[in-house]
Amino acid sequence: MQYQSQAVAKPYFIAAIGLFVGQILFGLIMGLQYVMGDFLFPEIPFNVARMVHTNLLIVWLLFGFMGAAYFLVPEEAERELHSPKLALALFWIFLIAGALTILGYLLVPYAGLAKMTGNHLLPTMGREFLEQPTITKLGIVVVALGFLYNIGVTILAGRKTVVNLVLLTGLVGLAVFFLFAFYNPENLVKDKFYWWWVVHLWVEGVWELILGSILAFVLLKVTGVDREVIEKWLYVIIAMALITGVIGTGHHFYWIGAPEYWQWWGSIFSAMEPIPFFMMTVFAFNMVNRRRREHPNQAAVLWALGTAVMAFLGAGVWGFLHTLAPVNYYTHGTQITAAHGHMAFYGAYVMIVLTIISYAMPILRGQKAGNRSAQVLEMWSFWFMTVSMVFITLFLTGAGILQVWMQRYSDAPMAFMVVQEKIELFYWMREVAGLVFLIGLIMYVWSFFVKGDERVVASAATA
Amino acid sequence: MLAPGLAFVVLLILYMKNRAHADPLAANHLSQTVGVSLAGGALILVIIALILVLGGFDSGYTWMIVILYFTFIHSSLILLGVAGLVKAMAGEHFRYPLIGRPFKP
Repeated sequence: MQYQSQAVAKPYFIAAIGLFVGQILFGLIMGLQYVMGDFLFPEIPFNVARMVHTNLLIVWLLFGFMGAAYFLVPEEAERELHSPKLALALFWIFLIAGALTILGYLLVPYAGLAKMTGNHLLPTMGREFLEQPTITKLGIVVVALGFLYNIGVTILAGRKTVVNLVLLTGLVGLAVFFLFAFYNPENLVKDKFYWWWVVHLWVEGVWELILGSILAFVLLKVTGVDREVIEKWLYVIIAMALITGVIGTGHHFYWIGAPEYWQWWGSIFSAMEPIPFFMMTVFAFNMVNRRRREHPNQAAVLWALGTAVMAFLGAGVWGFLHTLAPVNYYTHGTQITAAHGHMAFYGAYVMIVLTIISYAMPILRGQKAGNRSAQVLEMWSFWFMTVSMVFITLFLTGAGILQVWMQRYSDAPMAFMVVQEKIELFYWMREVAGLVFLIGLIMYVWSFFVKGDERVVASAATA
Repeated sequence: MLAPGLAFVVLLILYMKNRAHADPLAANHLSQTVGVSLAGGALILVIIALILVLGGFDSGYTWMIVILYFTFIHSSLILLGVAGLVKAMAGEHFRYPLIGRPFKP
């Protein structure tokens, strides 16, 4: 570890992995509720399981991004973090607030939680992905501001590289667009319109900057390719991400009551959204192909390449599949959306966080890379999780296409629940694939505890 | 993916224009890419036609298989194209697996 203050990243990564396990467990519960409607009812109703599944995803990815920033920024800025104590204090505030919120979802009826937390004073609850009580949202803002201050001061006082400036821009964007979570107009069209400014402009906007900068940092370290080359690629990728992604928000405005011109703007610009992901794939493979060194952490290299490929497939290809307005007229809100959501989140954001954890964690534990046995297990976990996610996506896509056919496209459309019964087989297959994913995740966690010959890795590092 | 027909026409023009006097590396990449585009295109069109003929146009299951097959094969071809492009950028020869034309580097 080049700078002692990078160590604050470790608790963030551990929390991220812990919450990731929780997210998958609730995903499996929910997956089973699709086919056994009363499973765990009334203890964990479907709507609560779904809320916990999606909220845990967001929270653990934020933990991952913050951990990544605390690890990456001192190294890029060539100085210690401005305040490691502040970083640790914010960690505990965020973790406790997050845990209390999840417990609130599980133990208190949602309306009761809204009442208990004073939602009537500043109503922000009740919207998908933004279900958190207002007080939790305010906590997130405080944590984000403290975090940005810490990271920002470190960068501004130190070396400014493209990697850390792009990362900072992404993180500032993340905080700014979250503020729209506090805007909750009574007009439903306006509500949905600005709700997407949080959701879409996060995942198809500023988060892509965070993704690009973390990927660039890891590739810089594991390949030894010139910084100039990597930085030029990063510039072009984030430019394309913003050019396509910002106006691409229009693909969410097709059917919510917004003006019709959004069907053109949304279709044209979001059809180009795969371009930055395609470039990211070329970038990652190109850098690894031109590598100047054989880095001993082969697991991190695998995660980095996997991120590029899966992000292209999940966000790029599966997004394109249903983004054009005439297609989306039939597909919106079906299992095709769920298929896209699963693979895109996994490919773009889960994998990039696992990439930086894979690269940083051995260093944070005093090694250049994990021992060979640990890396082999980690690489197996990569394949288990990635292949099972491909199958989850394929099964959900199959279910979605049949759903569109029976429920939307047909001259005699069937009722929603009738169709749900007809596509039950796909939900069972998705659940089995989800179990394989869980096995992969257990292997991943286990890989941190595998002992092996550290000298082999050390000698490879010096070779 | 966005405009496959247009991209193929541009590729074909490049191939016709340069195949005679391009250096061996460029000639190989052009020839490989044109060959795979033709083979891949045929693979997509012929198999989809077969699925439609055998399954019938009026079945949701037929369309499910067609869309999944098209998405899977098309994405795989794009990713193979990325591999070829990366090799070309590094000045290395590349042969597409299974459907690439044999060549002597």
